[in-house]
Amino acid sequence: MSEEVSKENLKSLVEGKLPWEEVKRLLRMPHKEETRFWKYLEIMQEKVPWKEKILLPLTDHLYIVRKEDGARVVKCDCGHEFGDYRINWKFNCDVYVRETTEEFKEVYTIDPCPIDPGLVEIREYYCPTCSTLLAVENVPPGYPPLFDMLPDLDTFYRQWLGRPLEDESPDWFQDKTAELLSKWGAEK
Amino acid sequence: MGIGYQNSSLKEMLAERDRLFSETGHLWGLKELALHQEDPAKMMRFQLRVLGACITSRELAKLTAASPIVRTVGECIFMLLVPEGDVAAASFGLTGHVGSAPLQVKHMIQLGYEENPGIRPGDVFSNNDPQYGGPHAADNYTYIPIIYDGELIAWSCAMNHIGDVGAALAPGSYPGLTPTSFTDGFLYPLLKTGENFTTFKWFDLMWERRTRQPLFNIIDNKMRVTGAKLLHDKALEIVAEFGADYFRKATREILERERQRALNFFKERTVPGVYQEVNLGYHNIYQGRMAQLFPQSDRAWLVTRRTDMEIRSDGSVSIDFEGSNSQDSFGYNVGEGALRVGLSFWWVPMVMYGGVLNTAINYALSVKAPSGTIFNPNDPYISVTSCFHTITLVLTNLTRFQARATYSRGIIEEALLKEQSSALVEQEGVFSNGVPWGFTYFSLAGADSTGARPYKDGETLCASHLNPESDAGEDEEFEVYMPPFLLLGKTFLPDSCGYGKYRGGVGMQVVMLVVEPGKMVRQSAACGSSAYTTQGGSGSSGGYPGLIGWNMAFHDTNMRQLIEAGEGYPSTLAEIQGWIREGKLKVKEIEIWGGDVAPTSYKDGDLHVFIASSQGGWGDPLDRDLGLVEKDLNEGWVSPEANRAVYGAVAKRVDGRWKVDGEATAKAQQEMRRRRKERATSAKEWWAEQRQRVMNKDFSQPVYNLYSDILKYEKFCRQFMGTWQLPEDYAL
Repeated sequence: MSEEVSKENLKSLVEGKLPWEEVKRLLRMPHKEETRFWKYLEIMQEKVPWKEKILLPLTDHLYIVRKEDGARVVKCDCGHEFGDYRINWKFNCDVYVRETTEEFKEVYTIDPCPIDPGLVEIREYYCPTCSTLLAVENVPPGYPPLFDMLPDLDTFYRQWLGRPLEDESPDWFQDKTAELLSKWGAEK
Repeated sequence: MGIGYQNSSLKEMLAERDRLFSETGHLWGLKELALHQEDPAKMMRFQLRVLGACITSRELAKLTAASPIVRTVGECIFMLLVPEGDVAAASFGLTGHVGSAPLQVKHMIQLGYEENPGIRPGDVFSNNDPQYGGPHAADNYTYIPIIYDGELIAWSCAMNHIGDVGAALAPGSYPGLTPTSFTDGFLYPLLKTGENFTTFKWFDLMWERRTRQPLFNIIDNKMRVTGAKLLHDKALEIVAEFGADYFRKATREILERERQRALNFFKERTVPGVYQEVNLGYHNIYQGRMAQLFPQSDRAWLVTRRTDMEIRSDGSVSIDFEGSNSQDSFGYNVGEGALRVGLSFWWVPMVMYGGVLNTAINYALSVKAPSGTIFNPNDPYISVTSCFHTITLVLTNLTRFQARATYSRGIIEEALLKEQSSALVEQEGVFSNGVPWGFTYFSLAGADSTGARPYKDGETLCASHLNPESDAGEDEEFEVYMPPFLLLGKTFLPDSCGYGKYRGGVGMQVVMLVVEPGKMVRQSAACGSSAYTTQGGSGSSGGYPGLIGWNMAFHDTNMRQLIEAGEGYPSTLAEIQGWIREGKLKVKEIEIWGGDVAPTSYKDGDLHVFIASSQGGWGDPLDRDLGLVEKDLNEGWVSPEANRAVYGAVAKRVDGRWKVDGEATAKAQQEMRRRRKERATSAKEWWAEQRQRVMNKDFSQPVYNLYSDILKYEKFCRQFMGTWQLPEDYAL
């Protein structure tokens, strides 16, 4: 039994086509192969219609990419850019909020619908260009949007993958969301 | 002269372990795993011997139990601990409970039990007190010191979940209403409950006098002593075979090796960084029931379990609960024992699977929560009875975080969303002959569905992270112990999943009919989840949360007459609703709970429906493969109406099978995308509207109460104030 997953099989897994028996073999691997991430990046890079280098896949449709000018931005596979990855990309989405029973029932058709509209809202974050649903939050009204993941890319590439990024800086692992919101606040 | 290694005291051994770890970064300073290197085959043989000893002890002890909670579904675990308390090996079963055993041994050592009451061969120690590392009254731990040639070389520990704890205000093992520890039931702190491997008579009398289910509880205690004694004997056989020196070193090496494995797991499969998660529960069963006696508890609470994770460069993980609610006069507080058990519910199946079950990950996983909060209460008399409502629901946060991290790393086979619904049903009554009874129905606890993965739908009612019921395979025996509750149906519930490109597993529905309840019967349910808030079973990457659990009771019905008239009976919620619509089933009152069920009295012919276990989806529903939509339709997991509403799927029956019309569906989905664009606003506009709402304090009372509590905590306050750009004097 090989302890490697082929690029072809990994691509099938990404596409949801790998047979369950083969997935179970991957699940049982005592160690994951060191080359996995590089194969994964190749698959993702071949999937998207644009050329910027992917540094890290984030969700089904979003990636952190490096722009030609050195910026690291979040980009949708449709090409829409959400800006600096250190700013919570949800603040650059389109947003729709379900807050009434009627709105909940569009998704939860079961009767009776037990969701209490006074307690929770369901936020849907869409890509402004392709309208893909990128994230759903179920939180109380007024709850700050969660910054799902701020990766420490420099540590990841240097210490864990052994291939340092050429533009390392401690500044890359900083949450910059507050800067955007301060700007919005100043406009009020 | 102490009873530890080379006459050192246990206190000295504990301090030495901590000193060596602090100075070297390795457990007991083990920079090299010498026994592993010298003879790996011998090490493997040793490891399998200690593992086998734990498993054999459990399997044999189960046969001595009376309670079906142990005998049938196996809610117990047997552990081998090193003298300082770390678990070096454990059986199958209630595996999460490895988490709290080290704390209880630490308490015994720090309390000076070596001197008073003394630790001697054959002694039996017992604990279920959260103040000393137990999670809550239902979880009972028994310890026997393993002493070889005068040296305490290890501990054997047995643990099981009992069926009734003798709580004042609600029955069962997980009584829903407990405003203070004085209503938590029979709690006992680290007692010496036996000598010569025999329980003192007075301990039996305590169970007899203080709980509703004395026979089961007394025999459960004997079962624990039996299993711990078996493990004690087997451990001494292993010492005789391998030598005391090898035993001592090998158990330490296992722990150091496993600590390194935990660090390597995260380095090999995740991405370092910071991750944020939250989930939200609503607890309202105290409201309206406490005013006279416990006025501070006569309210409802909206509770957030905020969980911020950091994966550090060395592979260690820090979990920060700041931003979660303050401790309060309810049972949802989480003591240190429950906290560690709750985290084990995540890491046992999701991180440290394979090999020997142990607690080495404690040295790679740090946890923090401000003092006085729900995850770190500082009131010794606070109730923690419903602790698992709070801590198991952190599981949804931890699996989401891990799913994001493994997805980004390309280890997507391991990305799995998972919530634990863990609904326990607590019952009590008095038969017509005046005999009282109490019981906990466990059927809903072990049959969780799984959430979606980035490449496949969740499975339905297959496994539990917490409980071993799904290993046991059946629980029909339970019906014998709850005579007034007859099961009419137990099946999956279509449309209850969280939707997505891949949907979560659908939930379960159980229909009960109350038959000849005698003089009185009451039932409550601790659901651990809250459909009021879609809490639990959250989705990811654009997937929706599932509606994890809720309950309905139908009072004063003509159900018994219908059965006697040969009309049959409904076995699902939809059938009950259909019979009511048809006018066949008459119901005077319907109660709906979106989470816990308050203690409720039932009459002959009443019906109760439990719903649990649905899970969240992964990805945008509009990305779903139409073949999967068709499969769901034909197999009955999702109705045509829901498929149309969520996926835009247009389908019709052809030759008795559903067929999706690809062209019509594409058109419908195009319209749905257009509607998304039409209804959504830019984040900036939405932010401005939300900011105004926050400025106006335009919240429902529960939400207002929530923020006025959690804004006391600096880190969350900073995020809240910064997000909405609020003036410094903003306050609730």
